[in-house]
Amino acid sequence: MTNEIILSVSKLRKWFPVKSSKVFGEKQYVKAVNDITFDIHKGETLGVVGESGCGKTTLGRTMIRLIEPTSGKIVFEGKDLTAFSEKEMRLARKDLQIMFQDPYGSLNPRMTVGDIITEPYVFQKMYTKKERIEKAVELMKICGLDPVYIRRYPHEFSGGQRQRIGIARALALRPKFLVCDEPVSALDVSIQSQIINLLMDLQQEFGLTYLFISHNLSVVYHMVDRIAVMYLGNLVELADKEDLYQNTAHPYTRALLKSIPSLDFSEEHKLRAALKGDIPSPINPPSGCVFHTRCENCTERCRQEVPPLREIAPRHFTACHLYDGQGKIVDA
Amino acid sequence: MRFFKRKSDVFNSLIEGAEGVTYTSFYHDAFKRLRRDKVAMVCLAVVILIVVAAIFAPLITPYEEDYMDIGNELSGPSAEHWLGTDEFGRDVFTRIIYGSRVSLMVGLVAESIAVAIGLIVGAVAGFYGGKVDAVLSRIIEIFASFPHILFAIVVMFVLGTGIINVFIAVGVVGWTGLARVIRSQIMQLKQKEYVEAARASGGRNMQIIFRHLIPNCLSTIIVVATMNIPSDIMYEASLSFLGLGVQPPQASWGSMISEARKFMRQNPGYSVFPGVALIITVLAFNLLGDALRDALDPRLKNL
Amino acid sequence: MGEKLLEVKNLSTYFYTDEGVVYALDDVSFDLDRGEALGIVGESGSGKSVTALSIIRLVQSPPGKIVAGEVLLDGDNLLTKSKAEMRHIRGEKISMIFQEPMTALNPVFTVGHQIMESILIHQHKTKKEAREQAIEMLRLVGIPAPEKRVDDYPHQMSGGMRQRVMIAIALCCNPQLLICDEPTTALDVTIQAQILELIRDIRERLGTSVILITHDLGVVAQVTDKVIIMYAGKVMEYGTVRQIFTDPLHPYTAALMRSIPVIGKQTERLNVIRGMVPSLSKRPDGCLFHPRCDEACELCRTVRPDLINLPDGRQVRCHKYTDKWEEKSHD
Repeated sequence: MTNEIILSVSKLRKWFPVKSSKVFGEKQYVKAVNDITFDIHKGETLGVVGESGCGKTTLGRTMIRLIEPTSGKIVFEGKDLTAFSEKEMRLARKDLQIMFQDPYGSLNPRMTVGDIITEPYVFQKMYTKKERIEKAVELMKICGLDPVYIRRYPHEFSGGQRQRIGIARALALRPKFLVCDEPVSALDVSIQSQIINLLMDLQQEFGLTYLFISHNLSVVYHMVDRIAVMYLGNLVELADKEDLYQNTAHPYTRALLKSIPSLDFSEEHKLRAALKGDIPSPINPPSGCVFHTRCENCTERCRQEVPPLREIAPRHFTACHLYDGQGKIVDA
Repeated sequence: MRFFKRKSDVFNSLIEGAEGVTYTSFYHDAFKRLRRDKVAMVCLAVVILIVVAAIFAPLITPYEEDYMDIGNELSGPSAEHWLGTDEFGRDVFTRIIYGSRVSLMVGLVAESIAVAIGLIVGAVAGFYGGKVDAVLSRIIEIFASFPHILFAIVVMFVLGTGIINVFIAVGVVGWTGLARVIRSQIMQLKQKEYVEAARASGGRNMQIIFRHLIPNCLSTIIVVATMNIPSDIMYEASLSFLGLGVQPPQASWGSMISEARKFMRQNPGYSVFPGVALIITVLAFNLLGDALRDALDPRLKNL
Repeated sequence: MGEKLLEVKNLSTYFYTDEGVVYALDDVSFDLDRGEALGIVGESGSGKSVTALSIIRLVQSPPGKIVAGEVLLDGDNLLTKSKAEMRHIRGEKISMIFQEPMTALNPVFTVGHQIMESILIHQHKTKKEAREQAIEMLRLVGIPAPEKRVDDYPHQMSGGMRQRVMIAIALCCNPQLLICDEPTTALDVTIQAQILELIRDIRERLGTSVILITHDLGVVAQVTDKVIIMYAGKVMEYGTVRQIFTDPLHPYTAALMRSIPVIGKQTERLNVIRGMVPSLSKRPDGCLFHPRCDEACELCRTVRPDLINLPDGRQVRCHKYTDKWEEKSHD
């Protein structure tokens, strides 16, 4: 990992309009990504964790402009992606790829593995047909698939193998930045570790930078260098992995960590529900700090004032009033 | 897209051990399922039989289409005329075989027109959504709200009689059902992650439509088209029965039944046999369509 | 405690498909004491859900068929019961909750209606009493303001709430056994923790026996006393949570434990179980795990191992723990 920033987002926002029941009512939005700012360094893995509906998937897709942001900037290698025309963006996509959670829905059932892996070359008009086959063979070998199966269809493979096909496709254009959207969540435990190891090997081999989205904190701990915690579309904490697990700052992160069922079965480690109640609707998120409805440290101020993201220790950011006055505010 | 399949020699030279590897596409599987369905296979045989009869009509039939056996009008089935003769002494069996040409052509050509319109309208509405979808959906509804046969009659009045115009009339009437099905299917398919993956590597809309969306609609198109063919055949028969479709002396099952009405007493077979031909054809296509749907529906695959 | 509630003996359930016979559950035996909680852990296709469905006789037939075995509840064989008798046993003696609460709840009725329905079927009560009990059940499963929520429709509730409602329905006739099939897989971690705490709490308060089916070893460690590890339709290992987690005997269990990333334990690479789960219609010879096992020898490739009873009450299906293995290694 270097200190060179490969991609940074600032005040990135994606609000999805919702059909309101009233014709002349105020327009309502699902605030899926709400003014998020952070950097990703070259060669690192940034983990994004959060519960369903926290906006982590939308964040990953908005960052590579698969979903158009409502506002904010995405700067990749010094260039602002949001200012790119459609044509420029199509070319830039060579560097920005994504792999998906669902090993069934992410591969076209009517295409052979060879067709699937080489499709990006068709879109980018790269290589001759023969070269494409050679590339496909090479990619299959890299991802641990036997190239003799190049003419098979996705339904002839197991879930883990399908994820490997998805990885091969994402790597076809030799991207610099790869969004991994819950890549192992749909897999069995014994297969999960195969894919995690493969992703880590590929990162070393090709110098990839990952945005690793997952709801599984144990997997994230193993995979990543830094972790961003999201809650209801907001970034609540961002820190180096060890720092986040050991010096947890935000009450939500603490609750999240406490909720993981550990393999430790002794009585003192018995799981206790760390949070009461449910996640509020992202359409009308709570005022002030979005977490205040479930927070045990909630004060009157939390109900009214939105806490800014501040650096409370070197490289450790959090958005919580508890740390008021302890660090400088980022990106005011 | 099919390039990987055709160039198998390229593969075998490039990839060691690739020649021995089997692969089954979705359609292989579907055909295997279809072959297990006995009813479907009987229907398929009937359809093939009708097609062969239509193509080789001059070789099969004992007489010319308009040969008149003067003095032997309206006779019942006999050794010379297996299904009897009509009011001009023409052989009914011969006329039925020739009539199958009209029915099958209507099934093929009119349905092709319907599929072309339905696919384009449905795909555009489903893919672009929003206002485009709203406008196209209203157009579909307007077309669908006319009673089909009345609409076809109006078209025939405007265009005039003749077989080509029958194709057009039946085609223009029959596309709305397919358009609706394709629209909703494209709407679902465009949410799939493989479409997102294509977009993420720089795929254009047209590439996505032709590489991902339409191939995944193909089985629906096959099923809907097969199931629409019988009603197309019926529309043609109805139009011809009303005298708006195929004009004499050309034979069509509908016009034959229409003519035979007048001679029900003298020769009942004259009206019954074209009717039976119509029923068998329509039934065969209908049951085949059902079987195709079962064979091609991936949701039923793992049950 | 100590009194046997459920005994499953040599239970086998096969599915007869076009592709051949799928040996979904093959010769599975285990016991469950009154008030005890048992975890059944396995990957997809291990037969863990089929075990539950076979016990309450809800295996879809065709293609599925329970081909052999006994399921004794209080010494009474459930497999010989008539359909009507089974309907009474389900709900009154055994209840089950599923992974996806939305599909198990009827969207057109209020949750109160659905709880009352199940009370009225099994108990002689008036509607008013049933409604009161429904509110009481909602309170028991920790739904705030149950008097109000009783009239909610399922879509007005969150995933965690719906799972609580499912548990309320399952508990309303005070069953002796509660089977939970992946109860928290569709839920977020913070909600999962709430539901697991609820299940544990119910067991303590009502003395209900629990069978918890999951793929997550962590969930089992948190809730149950005993664990069955299943693989390809067979029981691979059985023991207490402590035994299995501190000293896994079967190579599969051991490899599974090593392949799970653990917070705070940084390792360069995760342990990998190579290959994939075998097809249940074309099973390998010998031990079903041998193609993926690092310790497999000739014996494992040819002879199917039996479930061995060990002196400390554990069971394991591996040749390593037989005399034959000793002979082998001395050669």
